[in-house]
Amino acid sequence: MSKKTIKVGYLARVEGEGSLYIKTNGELVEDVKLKIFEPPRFFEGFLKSRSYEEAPDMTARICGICPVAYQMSTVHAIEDAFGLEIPHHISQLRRLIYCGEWIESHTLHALMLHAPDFMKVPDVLGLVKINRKQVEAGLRLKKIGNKIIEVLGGREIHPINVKVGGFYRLPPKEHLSQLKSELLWAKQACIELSEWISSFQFPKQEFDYEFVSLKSSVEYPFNHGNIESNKNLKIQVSEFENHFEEVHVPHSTALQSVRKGSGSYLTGPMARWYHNFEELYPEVKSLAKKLGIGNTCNNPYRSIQIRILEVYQAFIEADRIIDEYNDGLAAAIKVTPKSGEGFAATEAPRGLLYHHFLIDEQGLIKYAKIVPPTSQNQRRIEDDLREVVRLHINDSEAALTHRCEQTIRNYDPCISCSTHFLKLNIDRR
Amino acid sequence: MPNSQVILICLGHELRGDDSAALIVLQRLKKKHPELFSYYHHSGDITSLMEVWKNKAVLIVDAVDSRQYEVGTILFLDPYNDPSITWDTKASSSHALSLDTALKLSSEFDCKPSSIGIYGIVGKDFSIGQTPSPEVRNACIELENILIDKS
Repeated sequence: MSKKTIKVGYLARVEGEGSLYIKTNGELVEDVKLKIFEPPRFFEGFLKSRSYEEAPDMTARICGICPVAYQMSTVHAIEDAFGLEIPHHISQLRRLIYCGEWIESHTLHALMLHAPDFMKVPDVLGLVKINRKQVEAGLRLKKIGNKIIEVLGGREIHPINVKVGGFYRLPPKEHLSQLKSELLWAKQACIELSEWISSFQFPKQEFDYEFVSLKSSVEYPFNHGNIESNKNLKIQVSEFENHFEEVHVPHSTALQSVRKGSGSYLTGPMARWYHNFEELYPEVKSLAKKLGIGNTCNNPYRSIQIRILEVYQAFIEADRIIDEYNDGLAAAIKVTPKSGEGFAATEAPRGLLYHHFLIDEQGLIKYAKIVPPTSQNQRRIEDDLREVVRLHINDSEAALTHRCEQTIRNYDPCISCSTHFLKLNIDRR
Repeated sequence: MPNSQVILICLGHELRGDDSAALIVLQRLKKKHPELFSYYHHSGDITSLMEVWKNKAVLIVDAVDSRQYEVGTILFLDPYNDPSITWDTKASSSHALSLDTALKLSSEFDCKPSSIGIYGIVGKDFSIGQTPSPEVRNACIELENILIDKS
């Protein structure tokens, strides 16, 4: 019986440092390990004894692509600890800055990094030769996302305008209105991009996923909602640790989050889509229907379609928020620190981002727990890979390696966030 | 062209040992000679550089990971005109494109710099939390003088 080992020594087009090791024995897949060897970053330790006021700017540094997600989970958890109610206009602007992050992150990943897999080209430059117009559109869409973050956050990377209670200052309406013509163009561009991406040949592969995401009855969720699973779970965010736990595995510096008593689960666009399909704008649902996408998508390779549809949703949402925004409102509410315990989960582009803080009466953080989306998806990625390798075990080394890399990229993993990511080793025996 | 119209773009991570080389150069030069260049510290999405450098004269400083050269060596690359340079546009992350990719995309989409030169300082330790090595620190001072002389 032939044995083989496949090693992807360094996975391209994923964030951070890690590798993939697969060991097969004939038709059996003996071992799949997503090895994460990016050094631990100890952010939870850094936060201890620091003022609540510093926390949003510190956690933003966990990731250069999704700093807004970290800031949002942080401020909401602290506000929960302080028992603060945030005014509607600030909640709306927080949604707007989150729209900017989804747009720039999803567009970069879907078009520049994931789409080349489907067109059998090594990178985005190969894609330019196939469809120059869509690459150009993708760059422009991404730029608009960055611009939204810059106008609201002060700068496009690691924004500096977010604080507990609101923002340091609000932009004049005029600055947001200047984005309107670009938003109009972007909505049409999203339709064309979705149609093009839907023409890709998607591998026929479905899994019985446990989808975990925020569930809201009033909006496609960024910052609010309860946590739900399609496998019989509906909980408050504060109950997260009763149902999910982080476990250490020897081959990874990132903790893996699993559902207690069951195991891996999936968080991110497909989970959000499943739980919140009814909250999408009618235009988005209509486009999805036209493209043959219902409210449940179990094919991970089709996550690229969901990402672009979420970009479309984010542009419509951004347009609405800017229309409704008015000058002259308070940038933040008054915050008086007090001792307490706070919880929050928000929807980062790649999935649920959970924060839990204990704060003392001076407003100093005594305990911090952060569970990033890639930590939550890591075990599920390994499960997907195990099945993908089993089904394609007789493929050539190159074909199998490509399929494994593509499978990992379905998740848009952020290894830096989870401490966290990639290299491929396939051991065939 | 007045020197200040040349954009000096510095790439790197200040917490990753020798990867901070470009930032050291930028901080030293900007403090002593703020008029010499338009200084730009880039962190984050490299596609945004395509707008920063479009039709502009640009110098880029970055750290280099190479086994071919001794630590502290200063390299100069002319990316668009040196045929010996091989491009590695595949090796990037899910979050960010590489400098190679940004240069190639600029070429494709007509937003190349009017001129560009890349200075690289060869480092040895890019681990998070490390301080820059003495060889790299010395090379930063040497490069600072090169840039002053050339400006």
